Amino acid sequence: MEHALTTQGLRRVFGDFVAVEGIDLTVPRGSMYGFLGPNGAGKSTTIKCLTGLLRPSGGAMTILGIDPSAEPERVKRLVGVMPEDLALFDHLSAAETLAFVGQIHGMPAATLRSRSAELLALMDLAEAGSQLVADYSHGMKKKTSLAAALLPAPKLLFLDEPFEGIDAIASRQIKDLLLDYVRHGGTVFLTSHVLDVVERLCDHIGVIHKGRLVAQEPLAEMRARVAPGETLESIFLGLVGAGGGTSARLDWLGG
Amino acid sequence: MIRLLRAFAALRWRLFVNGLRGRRRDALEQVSRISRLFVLAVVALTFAPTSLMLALLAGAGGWGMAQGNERAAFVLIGARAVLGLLTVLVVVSPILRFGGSASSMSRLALLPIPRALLWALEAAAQLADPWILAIVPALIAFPIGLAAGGDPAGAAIAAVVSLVALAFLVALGSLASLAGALLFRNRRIGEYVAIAVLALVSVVGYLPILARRALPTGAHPRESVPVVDASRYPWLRFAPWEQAASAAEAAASSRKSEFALPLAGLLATTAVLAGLSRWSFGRLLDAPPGRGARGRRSEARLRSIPGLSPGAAAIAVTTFRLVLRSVRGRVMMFSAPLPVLMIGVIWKKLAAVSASGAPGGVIMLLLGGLLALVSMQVFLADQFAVDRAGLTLTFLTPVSDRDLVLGKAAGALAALAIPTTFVMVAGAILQPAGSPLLWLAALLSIAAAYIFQAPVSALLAALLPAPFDLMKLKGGNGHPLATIASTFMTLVVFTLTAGTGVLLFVATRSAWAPLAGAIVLVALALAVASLLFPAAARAVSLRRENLAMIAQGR
Repeated sequence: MEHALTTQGLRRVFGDFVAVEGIDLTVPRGSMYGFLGPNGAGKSTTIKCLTGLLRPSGGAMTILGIDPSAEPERVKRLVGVMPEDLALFDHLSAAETLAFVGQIHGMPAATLRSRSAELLALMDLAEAGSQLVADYSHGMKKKTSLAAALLPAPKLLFLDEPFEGIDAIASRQIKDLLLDYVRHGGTVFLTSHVLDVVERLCDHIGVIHKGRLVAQEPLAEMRARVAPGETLESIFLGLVGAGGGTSARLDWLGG
Repeated sequence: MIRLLRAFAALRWRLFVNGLRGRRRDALEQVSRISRLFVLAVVALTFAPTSLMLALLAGAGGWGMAQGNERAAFVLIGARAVLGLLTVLVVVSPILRFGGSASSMSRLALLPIPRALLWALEAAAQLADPWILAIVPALIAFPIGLAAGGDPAGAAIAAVVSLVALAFLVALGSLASLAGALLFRNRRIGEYVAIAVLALVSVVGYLPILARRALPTGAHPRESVPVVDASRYPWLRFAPWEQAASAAEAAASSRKSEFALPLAGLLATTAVLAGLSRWSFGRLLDAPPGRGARGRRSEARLRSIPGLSPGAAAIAVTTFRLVLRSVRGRVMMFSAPLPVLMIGVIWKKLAAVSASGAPGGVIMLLLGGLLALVSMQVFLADQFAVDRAGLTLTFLTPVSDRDLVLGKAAGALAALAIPTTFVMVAGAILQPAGSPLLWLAALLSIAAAYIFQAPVSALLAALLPAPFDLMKLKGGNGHPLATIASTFMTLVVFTLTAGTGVLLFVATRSAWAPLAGAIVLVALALAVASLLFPAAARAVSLRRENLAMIAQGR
């Protein structure tokens, strides 16, 4: 199977701290890949390395068959990213943000107009008018960031925690949209702490813990291997060693 | 109570220390951080001699008054001036840093602390205001001087007066800060009020001269020292600084009982201000933050710019919008035209420039161009980090570093054109003399100066970024070293370009010579910039990671 993304020995250090230690990712084309890990495990650092925001300290990677260190701009034309911090200009409206992204991608004016109108309507952002991002709620910012990632019709989408902080309606819309996107041949690489959503959406799972990849395979195979019949949450807790009930019980609570 | 005070003191200290520590990702970033702290330390240290000098004067004055030296009472004239000035400063400075405290207060309001105590702690934080801090030694030194001079009763009264004066400044500062934060919860209203206050502050100095009558031709202004006759302004007796000084004066004199009335007045004023501050605090915690107006429906449109790639044009448009839509950017826009407009009006009123035959409008244009260039340095010298999270979005798009640098320069040039056009129109109306060629030469001189310095500013902004939010007046500042170096560069190149034009005009008395000189300088500037812009783009390429992190305050 052709891969949308591969890494070999991807590593990133900050001073003495090793955030990501030699991980080998393989993301098949047309898959919905859930990249899971506890807080501070190295998920966002990995995504930043993959999207060119951080330079890897070591290792190699290919994105859609291209080496991003050799041709970063070519890769950026093919991927869409919704980063952890959403990365938006405070002084632009949602429509202006999309115009900015579309213009840099060299989109024709008519295409930009029609796609923007569709995306803004889908994300319920059309009514925001000329209101600036600085005045948006967190959910509106998240939807603007997702719209900006989708606008150039990327072949691969990186979404860092797309379901956190948004309402149930928007969450449902985004899930439907992502499933449709994958059905049409797109690839999604997402991180999330909402494991039941990941379980319903993703067909491939990678688990990172303390900077190391501890598991990576199709969800069905992972379930069969690790804990048949169990939920993804149980599988995940088992993989990162947090499911044994070893934490403090806080008996003093509720007294 | 003591436990809470200790907790808050520890919190403030920890915030201060953590703010100094920052993060150090690599050697260049560490150099950048240390140089920022060094410049801030130098600025802070300049307060120390001023504060010490005020304390010495107050102490010596108190001692002299206790000794019966009538000339020592002059110290209280100084005290009136200093307290009057501080009264204005403690009101204006919170407006210049609006939007700061509300969110942290909301977090603290969740803790089991009485609101009254929380307000008292917020008000007490005003003591850390450098303006107030600077006069605390003087307020202590005056009663000590009286006591040392042999007037313990006067010293005791003066100590109470000092304490109430300090409480007045704290209450006033706290009210200005909290009422300002309450008013500015709607970002747009806050922006307009802050800009109006800044505009008022920047033109108020010109009002006395504007109020003067024009002199007849050939007449010279008479030198005179303005004297304020206090008896003509009875309301001055109720001014807090007058009440504080009168109470201190009575304390140091033989008419000690006369301290009570002004002190009671000052105390009542302080109580009213404190009450209003407390009310504003309660409202601030209870009222939800406002949102900006939604306005008309907006649609995504492409804005192409001749000579620029689509990517560079997108960056230029976004940069231009940032300057126009941010409060600090708008301040940059009017900070150059307003003083030049005032100067133009004064020149017209005094008819001094037109009588000399000098092209006053062209001089106004050059002056306005220089001021516009200088006022934009704070932005130009930090042009990447001012994008904040938007810089990450830029880095995620397939824009080249060259387009990023060129787009930034083009956007800033478009922004620079606004105040320059304004001063040109004002100059043409107020002082229309001078050949059109001379006006064109002046415009080209300003453009040449900008083109010379634009890549240098970009280089400095890439190497010495600082977290800086143009959307807030309290959004910090660019890196001081980068700003100073960029401003110095501006002054040097402007002297070169405008100075060349002036010299050529004076030498030839023809408008063609400065125009030809300006065209040559623009060509030279473009040649130099074409060599330096790739270096700036290379610097951005090498510093991308640090730039994106610093832009988001990490």
